[in-house]
Amino acid sequence: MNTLELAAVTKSFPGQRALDNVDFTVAKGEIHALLGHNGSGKSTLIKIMSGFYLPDGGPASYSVAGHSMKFGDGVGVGRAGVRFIHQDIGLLDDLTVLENLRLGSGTYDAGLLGRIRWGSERAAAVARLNDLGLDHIDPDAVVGRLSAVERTEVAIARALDVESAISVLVLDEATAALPSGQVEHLFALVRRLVARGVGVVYVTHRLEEVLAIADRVTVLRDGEVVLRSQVADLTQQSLARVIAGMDVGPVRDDDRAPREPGADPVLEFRDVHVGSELRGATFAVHPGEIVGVAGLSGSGVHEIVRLLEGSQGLGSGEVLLGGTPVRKFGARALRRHRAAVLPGERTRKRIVGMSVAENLTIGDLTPFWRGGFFRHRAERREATEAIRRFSILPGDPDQAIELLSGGNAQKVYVARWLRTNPQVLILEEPTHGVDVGGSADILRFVSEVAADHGVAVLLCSSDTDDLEATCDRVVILRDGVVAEQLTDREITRERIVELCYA
Amino acid sequence: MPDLAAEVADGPTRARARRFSAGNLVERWAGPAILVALMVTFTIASPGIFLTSSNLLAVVNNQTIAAVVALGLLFPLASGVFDISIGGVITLSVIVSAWMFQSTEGSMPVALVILLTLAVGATAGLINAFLVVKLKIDPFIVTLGSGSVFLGISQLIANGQVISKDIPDGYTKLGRGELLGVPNPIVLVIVLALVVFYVLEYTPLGRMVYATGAGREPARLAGVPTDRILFLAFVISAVCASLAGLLYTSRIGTGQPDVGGQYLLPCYAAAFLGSTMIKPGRFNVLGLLVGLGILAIGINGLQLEGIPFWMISTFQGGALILAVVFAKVRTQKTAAGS
Repeated sequence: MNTLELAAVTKSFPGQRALDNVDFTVAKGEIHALLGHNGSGKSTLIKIMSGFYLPDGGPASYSVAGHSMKFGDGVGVGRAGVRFIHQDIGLLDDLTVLENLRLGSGTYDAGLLGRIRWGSERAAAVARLNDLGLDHIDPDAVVGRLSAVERTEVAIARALDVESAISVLVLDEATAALPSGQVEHLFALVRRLVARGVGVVYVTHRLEEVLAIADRVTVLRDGEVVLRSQVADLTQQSLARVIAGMDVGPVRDDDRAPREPGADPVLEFRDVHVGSELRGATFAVHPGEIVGVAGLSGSGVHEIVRLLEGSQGLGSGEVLLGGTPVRKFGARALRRHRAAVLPGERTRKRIVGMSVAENLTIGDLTPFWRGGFFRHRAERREATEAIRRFSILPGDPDQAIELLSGGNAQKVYVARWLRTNPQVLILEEPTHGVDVGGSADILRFVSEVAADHGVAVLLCSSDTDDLEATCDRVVILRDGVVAEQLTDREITRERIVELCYA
Repeated sequence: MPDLAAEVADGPTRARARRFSAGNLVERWAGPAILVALMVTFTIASPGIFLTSSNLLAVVNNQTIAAVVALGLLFPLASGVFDISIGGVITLSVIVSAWMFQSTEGSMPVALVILLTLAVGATAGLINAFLVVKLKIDPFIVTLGSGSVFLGISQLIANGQVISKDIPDGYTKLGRGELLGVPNPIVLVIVLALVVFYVLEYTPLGRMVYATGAGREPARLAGVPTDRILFLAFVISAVCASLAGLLYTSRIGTGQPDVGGQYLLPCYAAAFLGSTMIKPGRFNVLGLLVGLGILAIGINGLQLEGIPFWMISTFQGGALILAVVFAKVRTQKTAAGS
């Protein structure tokens, strides 16, 4: 018997169809894995389930435990017993387990003058934790001190800590931040819930987890269901191929001349460890070469950028720029090695309250400092020139940066670093949140500086199309180490995805 | 007419961009206009009293201590942090300088006293900066606490007394003298204002100060040495407060262990008022001076009209809140335009 049924769901965003006539069901007591690569439509489907998005008009229908649901009615979905646990589990780290469990329930056991009877609340919390087999968690422990797995367990316990019956639990990448190998504890909890008849939707990138725990699998690709199957019939490799779309993928049409080795590398990672994610990465980038770095979240790609930009320390190993070991990281220190890092998130690049020109020139102000005065006119001239060269719109250097679209703003940040003439350029998700035309422009600028000026580019991206289109070589990170390197003709979107999941 | 043609030819993009960059003439010059309007009003209301050179000179001279503090305060504010320890630093400098004269019976060289007092101020700024930058404590809390500690140290040194003995004439002459008919404190403010204006508007350092204030993390990732900027900002602010303390002792010739607190509010009110004009959205020197002028002329004029004493605090506090409200309305308008 199905406890959740979604039928004929279609959802379009401007210029793209995120979901195309998708059916999705979860049976009582079933663990149903929902898989797909970035942009496949699985987050959109989850958000339609939770009421965050409305599907396009049409024959779409939604029911939970036999009751018909209204789309967009998040409260109704919650009342019907559907619970969501996201990767950001939303616990307050400074409060205790007990306080977190009761937070937002709105119905405390209260005495005179609204005093909360913590004694009885505590007893109830202990009973609930025991009931879920979580008796190893101290209700008085501060959540921030718990392990990542324990925090996720508390989040699940909290989601279940309500009067109404639970019918469906949606784990949306809830294990992405957990060290693999420790998820077994979590599985025990999930299995206990399933035994009580709860249906579980399990969204993850980790295929070994799917094989270990799920009963059924639905794979989305480009907004369509491409596979619905019992897990027993699958292997990790066959799943990866389906997710990547190997069966239908076109072979890359490569007209680029293979790069000749010879020049010494200008950027080298030697057994670099950062935090607990990057565990001994070794690779090199040569002048004029565009090297992509791909990997799932938690594979260490993120840490490469955090290290170089100076936000996270070097655990061990060595990074060399132009043959010299780097002692100090951060934009300012790297500039001395003629290297530049462009972080991915918008808020880490955009200096709000400053103009386009000011955002553009802040990377290096020395050319305007002549004879003891800052030459505003020279700055304006250079900004105007960059605006033309990178076709930034609107083309007014005095425009406030926050009034630019994502793509135009991104061009400003790319220009910020290209005008400093770096020999090494490190880009994180350079086309994230950028429209199609802007993406093409940005990738073209990057390819041009590599080809014409011999700039070495490290492209850390989850957009496999970008990697396929621009890279000479792609380094695949898995579990914090370089698992594979693809060159030239081997670089296809499908192959990258397959190797990421392998 | 040619302007209109160009605008039509370039379409709406350029028109919108220009509207922003011109920063709206009304918005930029409303502050100076208010200052002029106040002066005209009081000239008419108090004929022969308000608009006299002696009254105006007194008004300006009275603002010199606040102006010195406020000019220094521009650095932390522009780099996005609060420094409310300035009251404590002023007091500390007043007491330390007076005490150095008193305990040496006036024999200590004036230049040495000035240097040592400024060094004390710089140290206070370094302590603030260390706590904020290295230990990453909220600047508001840090300077609230440190300001109180500086006040306590002043009280310890003064030991409950008003120090007024042995302050040499050579020192008081500095604060009471004139240069070409202009009182020395006014000369000091003019020079300091020019220096701060130059640094903020015409050096890369000034640009990096504003960038740090606009967004510390993106500025750091764009290569701005934000930690160093914050250190510098706290030290400049404290040294200026210290300079203001020196100015106080040399003008009044005495040191009371509670003088600093009165300058905190007017300085903040003037700085925030100033950030709404000339270069709206940015703490700037010209705006600050106009803001100080509005507060001073407003209070002076009201006093000449016989307005009760409690109006002064009310006026200053009201101006501070109004300035922040204006700034808020402005940013909301900008955001709505996107």
